[in-house]
Amino acid sequence: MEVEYVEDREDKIVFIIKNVPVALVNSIRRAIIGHVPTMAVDYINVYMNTSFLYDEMLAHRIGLIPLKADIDKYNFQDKCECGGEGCPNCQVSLRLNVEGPKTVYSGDFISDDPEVKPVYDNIPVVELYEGQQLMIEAVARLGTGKEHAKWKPVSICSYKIIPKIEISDCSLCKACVEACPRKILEIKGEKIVVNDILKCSMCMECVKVCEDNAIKVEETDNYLFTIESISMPAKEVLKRAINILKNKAVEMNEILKHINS
Amino acid sequence: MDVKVVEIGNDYVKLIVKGEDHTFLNLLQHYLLEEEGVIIAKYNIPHPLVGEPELYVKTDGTDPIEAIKRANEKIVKVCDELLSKI
Repeated sequence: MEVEYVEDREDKIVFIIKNVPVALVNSIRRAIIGHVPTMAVDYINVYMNTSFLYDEMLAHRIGLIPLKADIDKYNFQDKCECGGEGCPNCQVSLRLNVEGPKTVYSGDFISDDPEVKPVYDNIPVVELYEGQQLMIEAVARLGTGKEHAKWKPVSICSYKIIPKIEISDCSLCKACVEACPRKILEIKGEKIVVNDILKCSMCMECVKVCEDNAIKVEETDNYLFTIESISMPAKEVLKRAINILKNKAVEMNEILKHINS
Repeated sequence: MDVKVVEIGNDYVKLIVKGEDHTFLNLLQHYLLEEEGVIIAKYNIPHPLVGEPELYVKTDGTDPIEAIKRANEKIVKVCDELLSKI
């Protein structure tokens, strides 16, 4: 197993992972999308709404605002000591009290916990005109992407196979070079060479067009993994996902111990 | 996670793994099939929303529960290796 970074930023990582089974890579992808917890607004209490939008539409729009939070500080509501009723250990209130004329942005919310706040302050929620008023308490809690997409910690999370392209006995007819939609094949001297193998989408156009059957595109155990995160660093998302998988295996072994005895 | 034994014998076991989905079970199935002595390892999710996944393992005579334990230990090892390389 080898890991090699192609791009390494706080909000986006692209890396090559070598010699691992697809099952592992796909499980990591699924764990990132569906099992890594984040904070998002679950429901809102509307005390006053004279804006043009219905309460439900406001609730939906506010729910989709990504929130930055220290998620280790909070419990899942169903596992909290309060029994799911809601307490400072499992939920945060964000208050909004504004009057028009004004465009309401995500940055206008006043949070009970200063560490829990919208990732971006410039997300428009609703435009208020003269005399319109909003008084809202938005209640945020931890959740996972399996429940609703607003709790996903990432926007893009995908992997693709890095194929192996083998060219032998080529007659240099150039048909494959023209057929490749991503232009990764090139003639260099008496040979056809692959420019950027990471761009290959395995469309097999070059194989179809080759009359000598000289090109072979094969799957390998190497993958190009892309993660673009929203509310926490991309590397942290990846680490959390792997830890979730690991804990599941540990937990299952713990239960199986009791079954055997 | 909640594991219930439906059927058990010397060389086979049928478990219900409540609260899990493809995320973990597909990984477990892959490592079970790599395990020596395991002939069949298969899981089935009757319904994606309400179903409780069934895991079936058949071996050539070795303890199937022990095979699952070894597969899980392999997952932990792989995850630790990956964590150290990130």
